[in-house]
Amino acid sequence: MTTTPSPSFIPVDNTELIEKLQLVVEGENAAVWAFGFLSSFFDDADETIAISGYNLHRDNRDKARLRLRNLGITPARPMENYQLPFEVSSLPTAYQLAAFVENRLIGIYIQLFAIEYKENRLETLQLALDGSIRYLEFKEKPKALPGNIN
Amino acid sequence: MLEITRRSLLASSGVLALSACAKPPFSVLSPSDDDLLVDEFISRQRDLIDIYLAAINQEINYTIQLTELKDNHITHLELWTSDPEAIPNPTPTGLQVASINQLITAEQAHVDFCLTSCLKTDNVDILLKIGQIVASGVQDIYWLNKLITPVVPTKKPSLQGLDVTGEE
Repeated sequence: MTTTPSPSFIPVDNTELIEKLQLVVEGENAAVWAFGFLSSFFDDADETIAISGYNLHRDNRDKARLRLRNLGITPARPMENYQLPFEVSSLPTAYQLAAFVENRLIGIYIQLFAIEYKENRLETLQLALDGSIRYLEFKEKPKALPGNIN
Repeated sequence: MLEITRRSLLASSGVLALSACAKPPFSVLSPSDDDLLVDEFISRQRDLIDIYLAAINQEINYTIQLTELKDNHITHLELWTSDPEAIPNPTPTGLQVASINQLITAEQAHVDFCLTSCLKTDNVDILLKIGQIVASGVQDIYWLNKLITPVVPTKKPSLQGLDVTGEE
């Protein structure tokens, strides 16, 4: 007897998973670069935020790299330089860039979460939720749909 | 020519009646688990908006901030349904007042529901919506806590207590 899967069930495709993990690595690479760049705009108190953001994104990137390597895939390399989405010339614009980077990563992690195997789903979602809180710490208001997926 | 008698008419109507009884009058499809989950989200989202409407009544100092958060929840509701009548309006019979603490509790319950629901489905569209809603929910909780937490001026660090020689 053959069984047919439920019509709502969508099997996790490793190709899609790899694609999203590469997006995470690229996003985290950009975040590491951005927080390094931003530290020059922050004073002593805010520099701690920049340094902790830098370290955190580097750790998250390394975790995603490891997952890709475990799947036999070479992770994307960081670019030498990144194009800024807007001019950053002051502390407020530095905050805006930090919030921009965090919001973009929220969207990337939510896309990964949606195709994850169940056992990894909550862990991936937690990365998006942590980013949602960090987003607010850069003097932003709550968004209706963080991550700008739609 | 075929003659229709009273007897043949009764017999044929009996056959029709029996054939009608053999099948259900219309096909009944039970809703899928995903449909039930979406219905539950709509219901909970409406309840949350109701609490926001009540809080806007009570917390008049925070009307602007709470209205923005309430509008975010209307956006969430619109992810699940396009029916404009699904959006609750203030009603005299509804909850009249609610505190920000009640809002935080309600938001936390909604976040918890999202976290358990995401393990009940594999539908990517639903999971994308849940991801965005729960990310917004944790932002709301953080923001609401910030609203009701008084700002304490930070003290400059100073040397306190005993010095290394043990003398004050």
